Amino acid sequence: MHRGKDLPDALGRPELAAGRKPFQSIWIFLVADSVSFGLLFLVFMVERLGQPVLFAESAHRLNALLGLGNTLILITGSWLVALAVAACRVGSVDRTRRRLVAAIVVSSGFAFVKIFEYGSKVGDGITPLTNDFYTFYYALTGFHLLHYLTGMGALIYLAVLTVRVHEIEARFTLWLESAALFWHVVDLLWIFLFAMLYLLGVQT
Amino acid sequence: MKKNPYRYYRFLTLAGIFMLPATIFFWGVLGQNVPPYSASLSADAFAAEIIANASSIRIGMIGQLVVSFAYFLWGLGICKVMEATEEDNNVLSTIALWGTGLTWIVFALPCSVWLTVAYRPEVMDPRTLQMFFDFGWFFFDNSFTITTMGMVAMGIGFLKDPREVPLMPAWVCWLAICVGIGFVLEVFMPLVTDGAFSRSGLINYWIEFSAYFVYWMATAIHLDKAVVRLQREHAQGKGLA
Repeated sequence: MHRGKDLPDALGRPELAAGRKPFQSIWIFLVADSVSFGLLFLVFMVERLGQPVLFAESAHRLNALLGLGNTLILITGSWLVALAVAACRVGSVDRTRRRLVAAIVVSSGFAFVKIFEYGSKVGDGITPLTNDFYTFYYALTGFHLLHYLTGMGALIYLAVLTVRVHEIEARFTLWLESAALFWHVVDLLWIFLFAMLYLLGVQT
Repeated sequence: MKKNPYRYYRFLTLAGIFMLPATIFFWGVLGQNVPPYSASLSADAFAAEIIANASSIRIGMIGQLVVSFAYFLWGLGICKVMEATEEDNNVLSTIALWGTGLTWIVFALPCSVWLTVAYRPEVMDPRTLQMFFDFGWFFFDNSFTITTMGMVAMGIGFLKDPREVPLMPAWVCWLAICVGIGFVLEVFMPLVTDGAFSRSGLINYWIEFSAYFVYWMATAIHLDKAVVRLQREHAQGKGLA
């Protein structure tokens, strides 16, 4: 039943072996995941309509500068990942690896900022139990953090793979492009979270 | 070559299709879980609801305990079909089997607890009833990782199917992964008694459970189609193609 020996090199996918651009099924996950986050955002906004003062006051206690810092970190990380994809497409293993490592180093700042932010909030006695806003704050940013960690794991795995290979294969490009797409979505979702949690209602 | 290596497979896959409406009927409708009683109810108000619906809840939970075996069979069906796609080893199909099989406990234990709650509520202290009911829900919602483990393993395993036309459509695989990971929000359920993250809330009940039932139905239907295809290919003398 196993046909591993008969597989073509390109991940057993005939379209890759034939040099055609395959459909990246990760798009399905990204759409489903974005819809999930969209529903969470919708529920957040509905809850916010019921308690606008509480949500605005609570948002005011978040550190928007830290949120902005994390936004810049993720955007820079995304840019570096896009550069790694470009290097991969022209077949440069070294440049792909360097840009991936740079993306990982820059993006790791997000986790440090998040740890600091959570730590300072818990230190101030602000937990998911404090009020509805903070339940959403911890749930949404925690769920996003899980995505971030998954994306970082994928980038680290791919960077390690570049050490082992001497030339770029079609399936490596496919994996890197998929990881990059996921990483851009992680970035995009954070931009929505930053606007919704840190900025919305703060000026009032 | 075995005469019919896929004998009984459809029995396994149909078990999943059978159990979904049975679960909605027994656990959901009769068990008064659409939606469940809010955690924000006072103990006395909660006990009054249980006493008023005790017969229905008892029948529902007994029915759910009886039909839950089908989830294990369905898990075995997922595992066996995955084995037909695996090239290297059977780690992912084994994880899927254990994940789905152990989910049987997630049905059986809380349903036994809720059955206990509805057994003789009129002579029980309302706070004891409420505590047991809460315990059932904490176990039901917060043991999600075992279910998630099986769902993610199934999604990854079928995504690695080397066939030109995979046995399981990619969208079902990604849906399984997405819904499985989405259960992580259940960790907020024990922290609140009302609102979107409570056990009867918009996110942790309506969205999570709706998504899970969509995953379940989509997977069950396509798993059954996969078995039909495997049987047909075997009859035509083809293996993985």
